[in-house]
Amino acid sequence: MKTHTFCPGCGHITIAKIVEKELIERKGILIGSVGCSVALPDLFETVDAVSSAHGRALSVATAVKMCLPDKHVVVYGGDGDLTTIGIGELINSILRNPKIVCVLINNFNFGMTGHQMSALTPLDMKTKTSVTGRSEAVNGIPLNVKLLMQQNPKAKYYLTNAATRTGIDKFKEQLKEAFNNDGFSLIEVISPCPTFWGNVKKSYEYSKQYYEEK
Amino acid sequence: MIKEFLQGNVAAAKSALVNGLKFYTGYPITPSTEFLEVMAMEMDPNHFINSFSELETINLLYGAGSTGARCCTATSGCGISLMREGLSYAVGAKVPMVIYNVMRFGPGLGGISPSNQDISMVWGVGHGQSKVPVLTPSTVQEIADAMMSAFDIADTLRMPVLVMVDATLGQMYEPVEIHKSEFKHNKDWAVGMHKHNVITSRKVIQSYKMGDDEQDKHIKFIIERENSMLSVCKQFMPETMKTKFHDSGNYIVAIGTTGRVIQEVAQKKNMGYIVPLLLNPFSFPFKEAVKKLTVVEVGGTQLYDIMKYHFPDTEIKSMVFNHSIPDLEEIMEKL
Repeated sequence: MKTHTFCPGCGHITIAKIVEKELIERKGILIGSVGCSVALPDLFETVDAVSSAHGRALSVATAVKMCLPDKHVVVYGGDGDLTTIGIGELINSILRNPKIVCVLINNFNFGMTGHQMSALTPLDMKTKTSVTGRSEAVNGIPLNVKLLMQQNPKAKYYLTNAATRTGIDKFKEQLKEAFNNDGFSLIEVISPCPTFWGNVKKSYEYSKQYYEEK
Repeated sequence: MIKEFLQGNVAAAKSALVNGLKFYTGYPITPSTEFLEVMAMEMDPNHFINSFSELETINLLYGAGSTGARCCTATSGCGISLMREGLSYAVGAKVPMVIYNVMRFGPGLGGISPSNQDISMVWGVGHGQSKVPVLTPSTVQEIADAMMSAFDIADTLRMPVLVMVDATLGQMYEPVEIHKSEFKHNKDWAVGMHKHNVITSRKVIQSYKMGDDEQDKHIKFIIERENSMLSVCKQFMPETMKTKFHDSGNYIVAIGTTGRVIQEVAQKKNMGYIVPLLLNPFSFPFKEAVKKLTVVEVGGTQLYDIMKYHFPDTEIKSMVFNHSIPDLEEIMEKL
């Protein structure tokens, strides 16, 4: 990976490097999204990549996979892209069950645009668009991706976190397994966002806490 | 080759199939749905998908086009509005695709009767600098030919191409011969074909690139590509307009079904006519010969605006019909 542009301590860094390594080995194709990871199609030096519009990566990936059925296709994005503006695409991917691996980096907010609320922002979490904390009455409850995935028993859901060594090792195993699944696989990675969760230490603690709560 | 008696939408679909279509996706919308239905019958089910919205349609096309597969969709009205962000992406990321738009009345839900109300897309299909070739056939035969040409133009320029017809033309039945283009296009830019671990051969489809001078290079490319659109379109289209010169300098212009009516009007009224089959980039070789131009269109003044731009020194009259395609008498009465 070329010199990255993520914030120091961001969970994307480690996870993206692991994804890149697997894609190189498997001669796969990266479908990039919009958000903190928008630069990945540029940063992955030896991987073919398609950069898609905000929220639309899973649609793009569906067509790429249909046209190149022998290629591994990975969608990489955050909770703002894949579960907020892109929730329609996510639901249809779960229902259609294409052989695609989706890596969902969940840092519970829109990091790229400066800490706004996403579909996965927990109740009471303060962001710049939920200044007194996410309110159930106004904003509704956060989306439960695991429950959504249960719509289709053939689709595979994985959960890990990018804040611990164990979580990262688990991600490596999950990713390998996901590549061998017959249908749609989604790995939700709880990821620290040091810039907007106070500092690196706090963000790692919060990540572990959120992971345990899930 | 045997002529078939086909509906405009069906002829467009069959032309796409004959001309190497590899991926189709669409969402039902009147008056374009016959195209989708033909594809459901004729396409390999592994390369056909009924999308959940036009928003998904355009992004599925973006994905398919990124692999080098010839791809297209048919839509109308609200559908083309939903596709405009994705079209802008395809312009920026150099992804070829063909969009067949059967124009109905708008804005909003509007109605399903014919109009020319989407042709302002000649100024740009979405946000940013996003001008693309716009083909406006006026017969079912020209629809089939336009689809054939559109794929060659899209592959050569690496960008979306619009084929726009009014609802009457899309629904009309006429005898047609489906022709096949013999041009071969190099797709070595597509993803999924490169040798890995060789950095120079890596393929990336993106409308954004990091780097200080990348934006400058990108815009320069887009402008240069726009400048080459006319010559590429001329290379692949059998004809870019139907016209009859007239010494009086008195001309009438219209597209699509209305373009057929004005030819008869011109004959009866002793004037010249212009029926653009390529609306963008539009080029009329003898502009100075046009002293007076009557622009006939359905549902607004978009063709009038386009003609104003191309004939800045000509006296231009707008003639708008809001109920449907005007007939001969209606135009004659207003002239």
